[in-house]
Amino acid sequence: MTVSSNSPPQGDGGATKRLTFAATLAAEMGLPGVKRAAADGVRVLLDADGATVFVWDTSRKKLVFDAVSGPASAALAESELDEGEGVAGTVARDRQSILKSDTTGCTQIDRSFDEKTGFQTASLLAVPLVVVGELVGVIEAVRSQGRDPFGQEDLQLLEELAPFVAAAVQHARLHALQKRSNAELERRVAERTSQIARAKEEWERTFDAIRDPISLQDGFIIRRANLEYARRAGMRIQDIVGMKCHEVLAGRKEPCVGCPLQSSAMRAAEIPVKGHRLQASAFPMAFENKAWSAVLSYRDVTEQRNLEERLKETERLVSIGQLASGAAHEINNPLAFLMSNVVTLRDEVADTKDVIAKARSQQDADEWVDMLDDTLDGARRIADIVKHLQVLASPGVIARERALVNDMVGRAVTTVAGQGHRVVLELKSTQTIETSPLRLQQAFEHVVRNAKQAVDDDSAILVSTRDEPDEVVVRIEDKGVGIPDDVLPHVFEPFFTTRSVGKGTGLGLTATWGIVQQLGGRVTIESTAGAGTTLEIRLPLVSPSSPVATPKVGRYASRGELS
Amino acid sequence: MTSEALKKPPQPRRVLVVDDEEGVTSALRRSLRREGYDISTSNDPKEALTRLKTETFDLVISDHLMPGMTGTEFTKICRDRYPDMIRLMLTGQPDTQMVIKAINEGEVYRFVTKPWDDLELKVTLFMAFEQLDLMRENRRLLTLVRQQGALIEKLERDNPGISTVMRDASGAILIDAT
Repeated sequence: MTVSSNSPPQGDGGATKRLTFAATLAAEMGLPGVKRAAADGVRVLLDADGATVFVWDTSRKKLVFDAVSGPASAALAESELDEGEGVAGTVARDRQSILKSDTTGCTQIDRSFDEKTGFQTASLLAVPLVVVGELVGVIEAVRSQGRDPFGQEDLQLLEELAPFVAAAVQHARLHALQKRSNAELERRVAERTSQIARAKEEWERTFDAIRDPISLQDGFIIRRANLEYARRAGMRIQDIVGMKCHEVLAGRKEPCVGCPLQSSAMRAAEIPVKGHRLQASAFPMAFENKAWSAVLSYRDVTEQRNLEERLKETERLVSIGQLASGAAHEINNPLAFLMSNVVTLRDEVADTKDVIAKARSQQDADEWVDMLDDTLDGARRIADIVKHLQVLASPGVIARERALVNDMVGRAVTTVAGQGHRVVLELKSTQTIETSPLRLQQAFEHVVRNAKQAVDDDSAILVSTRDEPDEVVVRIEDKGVGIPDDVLPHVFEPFFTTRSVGKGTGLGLTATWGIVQQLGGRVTIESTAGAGTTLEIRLPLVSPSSPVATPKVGRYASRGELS
Repeated sequence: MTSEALKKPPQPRRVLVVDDEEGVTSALRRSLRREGYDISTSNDPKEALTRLKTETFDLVISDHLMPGMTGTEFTKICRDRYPDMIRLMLTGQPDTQMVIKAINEGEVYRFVTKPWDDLELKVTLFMAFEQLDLMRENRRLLTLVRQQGALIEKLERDNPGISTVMRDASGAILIDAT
């Protein structure tokens, strides 16, 4: 483009060029583009040899030599001017345009620019860029030696162009600022999002790590559940959400009896769930104004309850045994002299039968002896009971030796076996245990005797033994009459018998229990009325010194089973 | 030769029964009296020990659990003071360890459990006295041997060479070798 300095832009042609200039600036979005377009446009429109756009850095109070159009542009990039320094600095400070038609001898001009560029500035124009009273920069145009110097019309034209440049620069600056802040916001959002995602995952893993089922619910509807919950439900976590807790976890159509959600104070309760006992606790949770939100956590207390029950049962039987044994001891002394006296008296009476027959009658003489014999029979029976009872709580000082379980079981069966009963032996144990062989044999005898009395003549009794890592298991099974449910809890109690009076002391199983207990073992009995009874005796290979074994099962012993 | 040791005691066997339960001592007295024993009873072991200082018994039957003193304590004292007296223990439920210890340490001849069988008790007593007789016979014979030894020594002192039997080469006894 060639514009004659003698024909400055004016009239319609000038207006069109100014509009084109404004449009070009407006089309540029970025600050560097705007500045370059402004510098280029001004150089062309003013037929200048060079044009410069300085941008005012408000915070640093520096005029940044930012875009240059002309042959020396590259050398001047990044230069800065202080407020009041040089022509541009003065314009910035005074907000007044400067026209220097002849720069010769002008002290305001910083000749260092010319030295840097080798350019000979002859005349120059500098106009402040102001938007709404705020300085955004300075635009400068120069002509070299040998060219017509800038005149008043040139200044007027640059002042007309200046607002466009100022607006464009300001706009571009704001745009850049906004873009920067947008980018910053986006970065922050992304960072927060990933933090939240991490926190969420951390919490999920936290809850999944807890080996108790935990859920977040709106009433009975499950909103969230942990891994253990899903494991117990036998479902995937995502399939559980939206379902009802009593359906998923407990497998029932109606809410569980005692459900904490149904109690006014959300009291914790024990709920039977698929063969386990879960202690359910509910904690109300205020969230999004849902009055019904609650966190539910469950603890499996099955093993704990079983242990407690067994311990309670053991304690009960031990105290009954001690009571019975104490009573037996007290009975023993009077019984001793009672029996001795009866024997002495009986012998005396027998010796003097003739005298009695003469004084009274022959029948009296016979009957007196019979009476004393019967008395002695009764006393002997009492003595027998007393002896059994004393065994119950006798301290564990019984002499112990290692003996084969199979031998003792075999001898017990041989001792008790009579006619008409088939006893099937499956003796697979090869272990010896520390015991008092005779007493343990008696313990087995009581059980076999009971089994025999429960079965019909042609039904078989199965007696089996097997070894387990730390114990020997002895099982006595019969397909006999069985034990009714209401009787079963009492079978180990002393004097509990279903036989008629005089046919059994009711001490057999009590004695068995006592002996096994002393050896640190356990007796369990399962029975169905009419179908038979299975009695299992578990004996430790090494018996503890203390008569009552301390359970060694931890709280989570039952873990790992999915029922 | 009329030595004290050779005489059999003409009086009946003397038995002392110690049990804090009067019923027991009475029953035993009645039961054993028919066997021809001379029965004394005591319901307090300390009183029984006092009595033993002035009276002699062939056999003592003691309960185990008594107030003030246990049966083993009692029989131990008896063993130390009157080793010749046979000691029987009558107990309710004997503790195996206690029985073994008492028998091994010679404190007690035998244990009898309550309630006792009269016949068994009588047999036990009979055997005990048999043993006592053997013991006494043994001691009597021992004393006799010692007395005869002393007599021979005295004769030898008075008539040197009298206790030496001399034989010839064929083994025949020489009456007068000098």
